[in-house]
Amino acid sequence: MAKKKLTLAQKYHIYTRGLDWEPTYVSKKDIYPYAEYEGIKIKDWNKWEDPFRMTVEAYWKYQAEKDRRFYAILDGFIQNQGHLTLSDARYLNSIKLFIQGVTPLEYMAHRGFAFVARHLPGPGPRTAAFFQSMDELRHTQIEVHAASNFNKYYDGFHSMTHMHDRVWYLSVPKSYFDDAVTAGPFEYITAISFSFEYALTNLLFVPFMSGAAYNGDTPTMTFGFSAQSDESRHMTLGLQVVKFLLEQHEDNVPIIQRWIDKWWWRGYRLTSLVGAMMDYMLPKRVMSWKESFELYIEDQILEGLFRDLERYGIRPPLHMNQSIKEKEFLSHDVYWILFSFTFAAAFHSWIPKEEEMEWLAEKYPRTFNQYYRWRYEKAKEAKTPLPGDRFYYIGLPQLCQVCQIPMGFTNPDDPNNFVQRYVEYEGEIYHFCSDGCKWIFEQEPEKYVQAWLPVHEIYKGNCFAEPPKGPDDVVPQVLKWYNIQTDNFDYFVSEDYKNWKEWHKDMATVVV
Amino acid sequence: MTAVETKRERFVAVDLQKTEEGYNVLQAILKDNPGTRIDEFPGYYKVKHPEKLIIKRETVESFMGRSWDTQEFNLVIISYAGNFAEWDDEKILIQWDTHM
Ligand SMILES: [Fe+2]
Ligand SMILES: [Fe+2]
Repeated sequence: MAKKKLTLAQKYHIYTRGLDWEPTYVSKKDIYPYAEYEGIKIKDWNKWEDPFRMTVEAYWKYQAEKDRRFYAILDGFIQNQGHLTLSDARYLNSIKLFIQGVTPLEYMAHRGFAFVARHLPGPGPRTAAFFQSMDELRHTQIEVHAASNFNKYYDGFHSMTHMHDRVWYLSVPKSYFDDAVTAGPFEYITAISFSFEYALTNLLFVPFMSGAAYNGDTPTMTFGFSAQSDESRHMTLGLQVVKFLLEQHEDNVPIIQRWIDKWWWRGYRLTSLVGAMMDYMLPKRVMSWKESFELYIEDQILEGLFRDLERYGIRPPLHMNQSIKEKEFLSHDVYWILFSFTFAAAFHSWIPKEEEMEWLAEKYPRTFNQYYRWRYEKAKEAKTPLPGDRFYYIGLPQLCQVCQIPMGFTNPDDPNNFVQRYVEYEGEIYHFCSDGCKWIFEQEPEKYVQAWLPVHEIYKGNCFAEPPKGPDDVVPQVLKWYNIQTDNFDYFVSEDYKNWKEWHKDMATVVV
Repeated sequence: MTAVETKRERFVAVDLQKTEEGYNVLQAILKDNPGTRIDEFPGYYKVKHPEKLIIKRETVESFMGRSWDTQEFNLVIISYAGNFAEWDDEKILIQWDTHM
């Protein structure tokens, strides 16, 4: 007689809990030294369950299938010279930001979850974190493979990890993740699995990736959706861990609330870069930042998730109202920052075309024409001696001590002014872009005074390839240290644009 | 308490890949979940329901024309809103307000 097949639930129990054991000659405290210092109290780890019921056997099977699908699509794209059929080479600047800014975070997430998989005392979440650690390594790999094809033809893809550790705008994602991995295991998992993956990655991996598809970039869409399908599992991990912690002990509630408050604003500020990518860097657009925010944050997170969490005594994140107020300003402020400092960036920017400005005005009827359009009209006239027939902000910006974004966020209640906040701490003044970042600093000033701020480091003389020979040599020496070559300045004076025109002169090279 | 003002709607959702398999899963969802709404975007479908979404193995198999393991749902899902309230060999149930 054939043996009866195990059900999914039985398999899950045997392959996760069933493989755990009680230590006999080492104490649990010695095995899991980080489990208690954050103040989280756990009575019974067995109450935790993974709704995905993922076992190692199923994990390999489905992940291998996801990879096969991705590499088939990537190969097809390469063989077909797919890069020539993109909507426009301007599109790739959003992917440069992605590869330089996000892909190294995938790798950091791999490391972070390896740590959590080692240090959580419960076998259920340990198994889930272990899968996630491998997922994140896979995400790094598929993203690097997709980028390596573009790297053969376009600037900005050649030095992602080197740049991630040095370049000013990349300190935004880098400092975000460094903040998370230097926290304890419970804060880390609340920050990344819950606040970032359940709430915010949707904005990056769903509407933005749909935009990639719309602009003809199937490999990016595929790695995006392939990664986000793992993300569904990660979201579940985040949600289960948070609910589990809230149910285990009432003392956990205020701790979790504080982490939710902190990590909402940290992640939201980081995701503002995605707003600029969506609204300005996609030549063909699917959804505006504001529409994505309403759908994925206001509907799904506020109306959905946080109504569910009310019964545990959890309220929506502090400063959420500010994010809602900013939704018509955020992407414009951030693109303007990126645009102004493109002389020191490994991507190109440009003045939006007239029809693009019209789209922006239609999507942002209360803000674009009123507060932003004129800047680009002036930018056409206010020329600088630098390449590109337009304005750059010659100088270095003041950075927010927490999110590290230049302090250029419009005050929605007073839109002709930027928000500027400061705190005096042990005789020094620290500046912030928002009440959210200021509040985060005040919770842990001893952590954030240590921030590595790219502008300060330039002034301290820590960011030169060789000592500058004079004031005119300062920026060139910084760019050399960044390994920025022909990757900067306006798109319309770039190698990318020159090549793109050349490749499309003869349409026979395009049609395969 | 910070009161957060939204005039938005509450629903559960799954975002599905616009592929052959994704399409079959979508058909099964439509059949088993009256009142489902679909928003179409480049590359994906957003499937929404005001209360819950159930995905049944049997119905998916009838559209696929082959046997289908509920864990294969991992290959078509992009994202979701809600909780996986149940996930076993026969069905997957997504809804809010579930307890562990
Ligand atoms: Fe990832
Ligand atoms: Fe900030």
